[in-house]
Amino acid sequence: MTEDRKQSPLMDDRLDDAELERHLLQSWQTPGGIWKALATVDHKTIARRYIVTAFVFLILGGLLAVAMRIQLAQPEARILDPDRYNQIFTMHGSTMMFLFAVPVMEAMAIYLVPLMVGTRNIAFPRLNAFSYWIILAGGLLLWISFALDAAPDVGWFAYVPLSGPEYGSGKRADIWAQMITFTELSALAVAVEIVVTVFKQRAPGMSLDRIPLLVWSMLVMAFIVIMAMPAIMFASSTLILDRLVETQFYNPAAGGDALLWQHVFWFFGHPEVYIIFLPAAGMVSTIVATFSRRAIFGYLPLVMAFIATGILAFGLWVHHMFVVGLPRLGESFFTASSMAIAVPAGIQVFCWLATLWLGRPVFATPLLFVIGFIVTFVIGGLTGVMVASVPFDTQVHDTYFVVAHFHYVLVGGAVFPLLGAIYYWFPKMTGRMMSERLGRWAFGLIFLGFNLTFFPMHILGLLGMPRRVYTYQPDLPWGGLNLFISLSALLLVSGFLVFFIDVLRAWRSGLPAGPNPWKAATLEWATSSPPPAYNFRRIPVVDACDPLWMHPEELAVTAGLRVDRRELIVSSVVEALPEARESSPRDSIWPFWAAIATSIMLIGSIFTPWAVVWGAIPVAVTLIGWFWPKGTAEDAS
Amino acid sequence: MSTGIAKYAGLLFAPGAWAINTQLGQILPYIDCGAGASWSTVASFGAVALALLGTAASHARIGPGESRANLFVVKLSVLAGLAFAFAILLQGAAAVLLDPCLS
Repeated sequence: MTEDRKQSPLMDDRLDDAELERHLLQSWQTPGGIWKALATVDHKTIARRYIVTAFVFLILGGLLAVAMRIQLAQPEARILDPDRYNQIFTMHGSTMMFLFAVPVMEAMAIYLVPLMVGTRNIAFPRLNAFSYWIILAGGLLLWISFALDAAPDVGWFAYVPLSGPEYGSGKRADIWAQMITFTELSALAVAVEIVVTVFKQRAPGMSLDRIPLLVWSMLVMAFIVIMAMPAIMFASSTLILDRLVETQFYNPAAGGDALLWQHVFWFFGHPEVYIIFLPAAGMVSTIVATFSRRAIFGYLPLVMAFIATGILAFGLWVHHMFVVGLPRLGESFFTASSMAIAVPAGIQVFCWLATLWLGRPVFATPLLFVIGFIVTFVIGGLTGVMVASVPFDTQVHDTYFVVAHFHYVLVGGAVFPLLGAIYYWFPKMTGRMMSERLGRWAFGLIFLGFNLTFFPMHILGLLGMPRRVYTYQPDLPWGGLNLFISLSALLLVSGFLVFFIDVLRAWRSGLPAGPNPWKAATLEWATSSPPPAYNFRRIPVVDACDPLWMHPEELAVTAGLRVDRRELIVSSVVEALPEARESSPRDSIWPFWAAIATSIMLIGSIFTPWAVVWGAIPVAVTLIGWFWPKGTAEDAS
Repeated sequence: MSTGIAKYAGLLFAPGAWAINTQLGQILPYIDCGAGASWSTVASFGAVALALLGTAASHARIGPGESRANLFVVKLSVLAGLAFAFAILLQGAAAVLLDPCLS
């Protein structure tokens, strides 16, 4: 470790608490002003931006769903024309999956992981800032194209040849593909940060068996992202190449393979479900323990279940392709894995139920959403086992049964826990409490509205209604159920409306939360709400899974960090023994410029391959600016 | 087997055997169908054996000499090994039951 020998560094063990806080603020706080705000690398600020952005996309995607339900409420409706409807269901799926679900889970990780492992910032904080600007650019690209009536119309999985050069006219499919590149680049950046933060920045004593379950789930999610996202980036890049420079990756007539698209897409697409679900499972584990007032039942099996789910997720993708004509025995291997993943999923559910059973549950709003999650996710899991069976899947493939199934899994498995998590961690993020009364209303309306909207879709699917049709004839037996579903969707929308009203109300005038309003056990509750820029005045020492329950009065802390620069503890992977002191980068505007340069290059490459060549120059310039030594104390490692 | 590898054997061998067997399941049915052989079955039960071997190697490390964190990793390996052995066993059952020429 390099040290400045000329002047003695200012260490935290020489300062009293007030002096220490003053110096830490000087080192860690982002000064005011728009320019400085653009340059911040504080994980909490960036996570808040991510969360707000993701929820804006949730609202936009939800409005598209409402438009579809209005169109389908009656047969032969003419509110939306077929082309606009195609754009809308593509935008809905793409927005919800790529611009809401994945980013919001990663955003929760960006906010919570550093706090829960007891460090002062996420690893590679400038990369973190870069990742936010990149996903924002990707979202803007997609939605501006929609505003210009040039949005993708090829479904959220953009199958070739429909999305290829033969059938995909204009730049619609290119916009979809490049939006994918933006979002996956961002996701990969965040995943790397999470892995390094969890492995190397844990508070002293937080050995592997003391890592909070939410952090475990985020770690497994990050590894899935690292393994899965390159596949979809390959897919989106080769699709653009096929369309722009006439490569033939997906053209069977020229030696390509249309099925290659499906394999590559679903090699990413199925793990994507677990990228969304596993963080939710971590949130559920945390909320269940806190509101049961006891340690989680089955910590070890839960960790195993997270890891096994994360790995098995890569052996399920062909169950999205059961009707393409692969050998039956080969398909059955994927059926086997699809059935086997029910084992870790079941272990998780039983551990949560056992925790509730053995504890003294307090049915506050976060726990209500968790119970809603368990009910809906189990229903989604059961229909998942049904569609994992080749004969059944062949019958219901591309029908509303599948639409019902994946909404049960995704909304039940991710959105319910996420809303519970927002109620749970909102006080930490803002310092203010959300309303318990409005929370119960929101939960009731969303739970009822969701089930009334999506359960009948199973029946619609069994009655043969296909997905992605913009209308249907009056003599088909679908009209009554469709009207019922559309009316129920209004109930669901009203639930979300109550939720958003509660968020805005609480943000402005909610009751003060205090550091630990739920009397929870994990480290993020050991600091003030909202946490200061430096997270912890002194880095805690951990000697239990539930440190704040073991030591409710005062935690042991470490000493020996510099406070005249941004500095962190680097610890060992297994035992979390302190190994070194490491500087953490200061705020920088260069990630913002790098993201703009990258965005220009990526958007330009939709139109001309030369954009990659010439666009690489400003990207290189911004990266040089990013890494150029600035003469600050943080330059030394 | 070195003690370092044994600690992680269940976590490494069992998912590895499952991943390889899943891939073989896309290749061997063609060979089985053409040659009238049962390589898919042999591969599946070989993979089960490999997974269980890894699990057993990890299990052998459970003892009073291990640190608390190491014991956690070892137990994690054993549980994961069993979960993946079960998944491969289901694949083996499919290989026994299904005609490789079905498509």
